[in-house]
Amino acid sequence: MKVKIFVPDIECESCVKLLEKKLKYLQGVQEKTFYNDSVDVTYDSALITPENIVAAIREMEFRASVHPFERKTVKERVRDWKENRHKYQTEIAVLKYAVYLFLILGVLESIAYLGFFTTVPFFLQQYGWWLLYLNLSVATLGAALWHYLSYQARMTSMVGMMIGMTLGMQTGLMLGAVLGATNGFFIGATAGLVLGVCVGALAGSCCGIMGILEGVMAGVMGGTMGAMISVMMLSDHILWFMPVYMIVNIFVLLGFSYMLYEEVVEGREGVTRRRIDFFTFASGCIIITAVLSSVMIYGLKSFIVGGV
Amino acid sequence: MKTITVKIKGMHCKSCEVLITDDLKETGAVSDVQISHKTGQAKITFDEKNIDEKKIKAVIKQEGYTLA
Repeated sequence: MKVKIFVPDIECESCVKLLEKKLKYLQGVQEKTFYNDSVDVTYDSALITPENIVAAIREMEFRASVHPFERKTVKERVRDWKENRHKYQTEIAVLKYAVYLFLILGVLESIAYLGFFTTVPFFLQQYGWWLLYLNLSVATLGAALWHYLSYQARMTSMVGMMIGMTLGMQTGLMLGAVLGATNGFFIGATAGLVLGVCVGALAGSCCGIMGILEGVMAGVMGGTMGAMISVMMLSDHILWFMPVYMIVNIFVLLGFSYMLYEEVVEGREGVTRRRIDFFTFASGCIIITAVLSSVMIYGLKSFIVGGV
Repeated sequence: MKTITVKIKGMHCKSCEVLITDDLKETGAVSDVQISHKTGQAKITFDEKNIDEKKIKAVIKQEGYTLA
């Protein structure tokens, strides 16, 4: 008899060796072939059942099952989302908070504009779109980061690298592009790089040096690249490009949250949820937006965007 | 009984710790192993009548790890 046992926690060669050793001593196990996240076992059904093998693997603190781990297809996940809303409270809260924050930022900026900047010539033409994109970036990046921070779980290095990389890169790309467009390459790249590196390192720190480094490198790359994109495109329909760029980036963040849920939350034991507090989330994001929009308006401007 | 501390290179995760610990215990002469893949340090207590340092290191190397 042959059975496929799913063991998603296989990380490296040592795990395979350990499992091999364990299975070797089980009576009735004949042949075994290891894959990245599963093992095919041929066994003698008179001596052992698949359940025994699964139990033996679990004894070693690996997750194991004869059924694939709850890695649902997108379609199944959507159905699950509709049917079991209670499972996704955190996600729903994060989405709501992102929308609220986006609206609050819009209101605060409108007040600031009406109070202080109506007399500045061409203010809206110069900053209007970019403030909107800044708000959009901060709200979505903040939400993705908060979604990640609201789970406390044991993560593999692989997932940690994805987390550091995605958040570092996206922070750099989105904020770097916005500030690059208003202030030129220097400020855009600097701000993108600093924020990308910080967020990347913070996010990757769940999994030690691999996650941190991946986050830092992604921050460097995303920050400079984001500014580069907008500076190079300033003379070439950037306002047509931006919506596409933002939508793609937001989809990446949605994909990230989806990945996080699939890899870290679903089917895992020992995952704790922290309650998300809208006040801390919003105030953090509002402060960041205030700093970045001040940099945008009062910061150094390169000649390419009309500075000196 | 003798205790030595060795530095092992090439450990990635918990499994490496378990693997090395198992191998050392299987020699029958190692009574205690404290090991961490994060620091790469392993504290090994053994009976020097039945096994020596050289042999212990050989066991670790056999699994593909290097000793610093």
